[in-house]
Amino acid sequence: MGNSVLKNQVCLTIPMRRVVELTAVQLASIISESMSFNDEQIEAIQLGMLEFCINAFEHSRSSDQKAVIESVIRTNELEFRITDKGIDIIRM
Amino acid sequence: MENIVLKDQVCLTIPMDRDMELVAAKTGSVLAELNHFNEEQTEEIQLAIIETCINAFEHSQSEDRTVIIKYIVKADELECKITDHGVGFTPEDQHNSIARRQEIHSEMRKRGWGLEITKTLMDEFDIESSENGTTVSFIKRMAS
Amino acid sequence: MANKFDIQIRAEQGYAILETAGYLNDALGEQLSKEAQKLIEKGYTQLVINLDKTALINSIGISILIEIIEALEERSGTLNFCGLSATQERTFRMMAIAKYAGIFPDEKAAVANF
Repeated sequence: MGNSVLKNQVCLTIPMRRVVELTAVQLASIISESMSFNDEQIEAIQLGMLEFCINAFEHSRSSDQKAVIESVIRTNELEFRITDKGIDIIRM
Repeated sequence: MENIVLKDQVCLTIPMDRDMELVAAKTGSVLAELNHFNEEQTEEIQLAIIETCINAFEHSQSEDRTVIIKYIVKADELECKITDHGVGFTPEDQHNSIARRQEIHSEMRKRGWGLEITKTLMDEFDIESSENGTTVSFIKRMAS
Repeated sequence: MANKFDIQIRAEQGYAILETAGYLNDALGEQLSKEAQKLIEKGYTQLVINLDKTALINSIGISILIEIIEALEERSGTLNFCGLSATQERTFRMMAIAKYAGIFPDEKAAVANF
């Protein structure tokens, strides 16, 4: 796992358990604050993270019950990838 | 609300980069707060994570430049396992590194406090180190 | 990533107060040390560092605080801290800072005890 992490990439794995999504929200919050996003943007990032995590928790039917949140920090943008090993939602 | 007990741990991988230790500390802080640790204990957990991470950043000589933090949440305790893939160290290395430093006031030495602070603030503390890396583990129990 | 921090300086008659906000790591510590040095060069040898708005301090930040204590000792000056959390105070005592600098609950007490 360690070898796959690039400089300025943070990877968080959380169990799909009620309220644990708040660790991902906090992660998104601290990274976006440190990058000097404004309050409105930070709130939008927090809300996006919250909703995508809850979505994965509720609908993925993932067998390992884990969500992986990758954050890629660039000079003027922040990218998040939220991955689960659940079913294909396009074909749901 | 009852305390959360996680069947699986929370795992965070951070690059050894400026202020990344804060990301690790804040993740620990959320888990401690969710488990109703008090403010002082939550701060102690954050400080232990910060000190262990910056110790790895400064001394591990890791090639992959990453630190992996595993947070294991139990009913009345929080355990952290902080791993780097660096060159490892022995207790003698640590002692010699501290002894080499010249200070004006020997008891007020400037550096080499990280692991000592962590050990003092936590209820259990352990280091496993080899030439393949180091894992520092510590447990904070909720005050009765 | 860049930690956001701030230092407010208030120079009074015979003493000065440096109030930090944000994570006290090497970056904020070095900035604080520069500001303290400027004050020392202006003749201020009685300084208060108010850490009320600093929730987290790491041991590198503390090592820079020790350098400020040493710089003041060379001028027979005094450094008093205030606004520390219980954990910060415990860490300062562990690192023997309490023997060479004062620790007080607030600015009023820190100023009164030079």
